[in-house]
Amino acid sequence: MLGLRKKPFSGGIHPRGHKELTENTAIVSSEEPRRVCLSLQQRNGVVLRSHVNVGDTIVKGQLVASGPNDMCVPLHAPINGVVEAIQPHVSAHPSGLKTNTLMIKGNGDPTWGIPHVPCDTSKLTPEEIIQRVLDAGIVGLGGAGFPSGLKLRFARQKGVKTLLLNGGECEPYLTCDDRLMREKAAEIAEGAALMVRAIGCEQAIIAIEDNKPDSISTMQSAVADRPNLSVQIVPSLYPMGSERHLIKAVTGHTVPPGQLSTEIGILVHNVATAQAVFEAVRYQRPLIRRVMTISGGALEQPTNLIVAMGTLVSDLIARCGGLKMEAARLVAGGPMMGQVLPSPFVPIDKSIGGILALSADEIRAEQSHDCVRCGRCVNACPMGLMPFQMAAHSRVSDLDGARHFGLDNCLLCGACSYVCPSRIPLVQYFQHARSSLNASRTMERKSAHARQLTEARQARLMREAEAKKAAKAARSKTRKRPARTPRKKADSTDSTPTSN
Amino acid sequence: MMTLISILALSAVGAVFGGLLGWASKTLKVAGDPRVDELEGMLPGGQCGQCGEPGCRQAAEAMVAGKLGPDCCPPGGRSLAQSISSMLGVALSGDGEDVMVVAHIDESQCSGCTRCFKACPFDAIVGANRQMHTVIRHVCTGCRLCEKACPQGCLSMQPVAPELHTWQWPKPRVA
Repeated sequence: MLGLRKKPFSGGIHPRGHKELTENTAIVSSEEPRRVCLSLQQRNGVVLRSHVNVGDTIVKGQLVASGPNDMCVPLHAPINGVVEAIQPHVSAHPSGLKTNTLMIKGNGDPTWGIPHVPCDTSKLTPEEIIQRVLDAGIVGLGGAGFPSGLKLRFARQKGVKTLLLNGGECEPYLTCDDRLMREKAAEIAEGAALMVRAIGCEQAIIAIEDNKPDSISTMQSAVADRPNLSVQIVPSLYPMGSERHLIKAVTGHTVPPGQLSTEIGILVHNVATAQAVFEAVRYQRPLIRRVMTISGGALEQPTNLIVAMGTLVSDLIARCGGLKMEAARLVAGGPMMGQVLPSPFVPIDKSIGGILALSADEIRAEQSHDCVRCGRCVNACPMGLMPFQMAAHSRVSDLDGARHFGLDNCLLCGACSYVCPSRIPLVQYFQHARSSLNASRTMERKSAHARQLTEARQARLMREAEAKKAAKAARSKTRKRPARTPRKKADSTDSTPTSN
Repeated sequence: MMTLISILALSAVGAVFGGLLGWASKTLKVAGDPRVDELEGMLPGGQCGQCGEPGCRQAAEAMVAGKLGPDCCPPGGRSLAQSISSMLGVALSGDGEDVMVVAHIDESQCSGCTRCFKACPFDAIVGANRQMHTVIRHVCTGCRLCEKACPQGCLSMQPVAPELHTWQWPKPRVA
C-alpha cells in the first residue's frame, strides 16, 4: 500500500525522525531568564537603533530598538529588568561574529509591563491587522525570518487566493509546531482567520504531515466551524516544510524557479507564525517568546520550551536538566538545515526553532571520499538538480559552472549530503559557493559605483578647469581697461571661480 | 591569341581582387582591438597604477596583449578578475582569497593638508583645508593612492573585518 502511493514531488528523503524524544511531553513554560542578550544587528545586516540607554529600567513588552524601514522588524524587551550594557556579543549567526548587543538583566518578575487587553478583532480593517503584525515584530517562525507583516501586505497587493499554513515540520528532532498545534489549535485557527482577512483571500489550508495524527485531529476539530479553513494531510517526506514542495504536495502546482509563490496566488506561513499573529492582533502583544524544541541525545531531559528571545543557549540546556554526556555538536534549528553553534553562550533569536545537543553517536564524523558517481544525490534532490556536478564546480571555485547546474535554485536542504555514500560535504560546498557568489555580486556593484564616481569626478575637474579658464579670460579682458588697485584685483581672483 | 586572353583574364581577376581588398582595408578597418575598449569599461577607472601600468587603458591593452594577468587589478578584486578571465579566455592563476583593504586616517595625526582627497580618484575622502579628513569606507576601493600622498604618514590601509552580511562560508576542507 505504502509503496503504491504516489510521491508528492520528485526526490526527497526519509531521515530518522527522533521525534519520540519530545513529542509526547507538553510544552513547558520556562522561567524568566536572569539575563537576555538582544542583538541589534539583524540577519540581513541592518543595524537597529536602540531606544534605551545603559542603566534604564525597562518593562516586558517595551519597544527597545527599531530599524529605518519595515524590512527590519522592531525589537521588544522580553523580560522586566535593567539594561546592563550595550556591547559586542557573539550572535547566533553561523560565523560566530560579534555584533552590538543589548544585555538586559532580569528581575524575575513575569508580568507584562504594559497591560494587553483583548480587543474585538472583527472590527479591525485588513490594514490595521497588517500594521499590528508589523508593530509586534513578527517574522516567519519557520526559519527564514522574513517580516510576516510585509509578506501579508505583498500578498494583499498581489491578490493572493489561498493561504497555506505550514505544519509540515519535516526536520528530524523538532516537534515544537506539532505540540503547538495540539495545545493551541484554536489560537492557530483564529490567527489563520485573521491572516485570511488581512490578505483578502478565499481560504486557508493547514497542511500537516501524516506522522502527526494527534495534531491532525485537534486541528480538524478546531477548524470544524470555520468554512474557509481546512486541514489537509500530506505524506511525510523531507523537505515537505519547504514552501515550494508543500505547495506542490497540496495543490499540485509548481512555483516557477526564481519566482515567489505569490505569483501563482498562494502565500505560505508557518503555523507558529499564525499563533503569534493571533496574540499580536488580539492582545497587541509583541513577539518576545516562542516555542522551541530543546532536544538531542546528549541532553538529560529533551523538552519543548516557551523561550524568551535572547535567552542564552547554555541557560536553555540547564533548564532541560543539563547534559548527560559530552555534546559533540550544538545545532541551532534542525539537523538537516540547522547551523552549528560556535559557542553555548549564543543568544537565541526569532528564527531559531530548536536547539540540539547531539552526542557523538548522532553525528557523522566519517572522512569523506571521492565521488563514485552513484547518482543517489540526483535521486534525492527535491529540486531536480545534479548536486555532484554543482559540488565539483564549487570545489574549484568555478561559480558560473555551479550556477549553470542550478546553484541558484538549490534549497540547501541537505538531502544530498544525507544520502551520499562517500560522505562528501555537498551542502557545505553550496553554502560556500552561494556566499562567494553574493560577495562577488557586491564587489561588482561596488566597482560599478566606483566607476560612476571617478567619471563624475573627472567631469567635475573638467568643469572647474573650464570655469577657471573662463575667469582668467574675463580678467585679462578687464585688465585692458585702466589699471585697478592691486588689493581689489586680489579680491576678484578669489571670488570669480565660485561665482561662475 | 590564347596566351593574350589568359594574360588579360588573369590581370582582370587580379585587378578586381586587388580593388576589393583595397576597398575592404579602408572600410572594414579596425582601429584597435575592440576588447581593449570593453576591458577598459570593466576596470574601475581610478588610474591608480597599482598594476604597474600608467592607467586603466594601458592596463587593458597589456591584458589583451597577454603581458598582464587578469588578476592584476587590486581595487577590482576577485570578481573583476573572474569576469576578465572569462572574457579573455585566460585561466585565473591560483585560488587565493584576496584580502580587501580600505584606507584609514589616524585623525589625531591629520593636519588637514587636503593632499589625500585630491589624490583619491573615487572621491572617497572628505575634508577641507586645515580640517580633519575622513574616509567613506564603503566607497573606498583600497587603491592606495592616498597612502602615498599623505605627508604625515597618518593614512594606512586596513583589512576590512567581515560583517554579518559580508561574511562568507569557508570552503569545506576535504582530505
